[in-house]
Amino acid sequence: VPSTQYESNTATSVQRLAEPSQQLKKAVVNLINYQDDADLATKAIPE
Amino acid sequence: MSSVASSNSGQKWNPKNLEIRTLSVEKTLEPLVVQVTTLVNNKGPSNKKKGRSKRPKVLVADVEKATSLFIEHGLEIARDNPELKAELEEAVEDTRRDGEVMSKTSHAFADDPCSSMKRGSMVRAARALLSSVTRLLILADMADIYNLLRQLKIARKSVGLVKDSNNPDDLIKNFKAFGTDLARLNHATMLRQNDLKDLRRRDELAAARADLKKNSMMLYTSSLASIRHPEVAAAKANRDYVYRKVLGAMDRISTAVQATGPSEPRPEEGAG
Repeated sequence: VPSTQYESNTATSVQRLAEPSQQLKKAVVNLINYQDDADLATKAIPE
Repeated sequence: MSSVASSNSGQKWNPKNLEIRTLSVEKTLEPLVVQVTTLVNNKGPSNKKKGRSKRPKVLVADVEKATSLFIEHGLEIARDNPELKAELEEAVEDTRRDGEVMSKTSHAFADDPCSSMKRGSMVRAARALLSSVTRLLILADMADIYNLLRQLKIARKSVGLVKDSNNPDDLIKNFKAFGTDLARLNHATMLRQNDLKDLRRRDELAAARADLKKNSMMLYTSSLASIRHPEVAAAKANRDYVYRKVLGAMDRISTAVQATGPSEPRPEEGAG
């Protein structure tokens, strides 16, 4: 998708935020999914 | 064409309006939106492969680091766009606040990862944080539009100099400068046109760009005729007419890039 870029060598504001927003999303998702692993660990350890 | 009351920056948009107008913003946000939806709807465990998570405190630190990086970029953009500084800083502040809540709830979750209640609190905080991210991205798009309007202003100023040229040498010099500004503006509006989601808005922008190009060429010849024949009133009237057409095309570009809300169907799109 072409972006709204005004100078060929200058990133737009949207482009400058694209990567940090993806990194943040990924970090949030990894943390939220952690419970599955925590549950797995609980089941794997005998009483 | 609908537009919203002007913001502090004097433009026709409302920063509270979270409408996504371009494909590039949509593409950046799409995974976030999907993720927020997943967070809302997710009742059971994810399909993710199990047993691969890092330690929870490391994951919390990753979120804190990513939030801080995002805020840093947001502040940079606010600094670079003084016209939207207040709105951008407000959005950054919201992100910072939501990030702090996220950090607090994630630490609680990391200390007790089997607690569904603590996970629930964290998921709510995550939704709020991702919404703030969405808002900041949309404001960043507005900042990009502002840059386009700034180029339009420059071109409007230089076309005025073309019209006011008194002799052929001045006209050539001023038209050359206008040509450079026009080429830059044309490139910017072309990219914006391709990026717009709304097809009618794309058409409006394409038509205005075509008008600007056509009338700009005519402005040179009509100005030259007016300079060479100052005694002929029709030559001056013709130049003024073309000049008004150029300004009109620029106004239409300005309106098209700032337009918000759903576009209205045109008469030729009706049945029959």
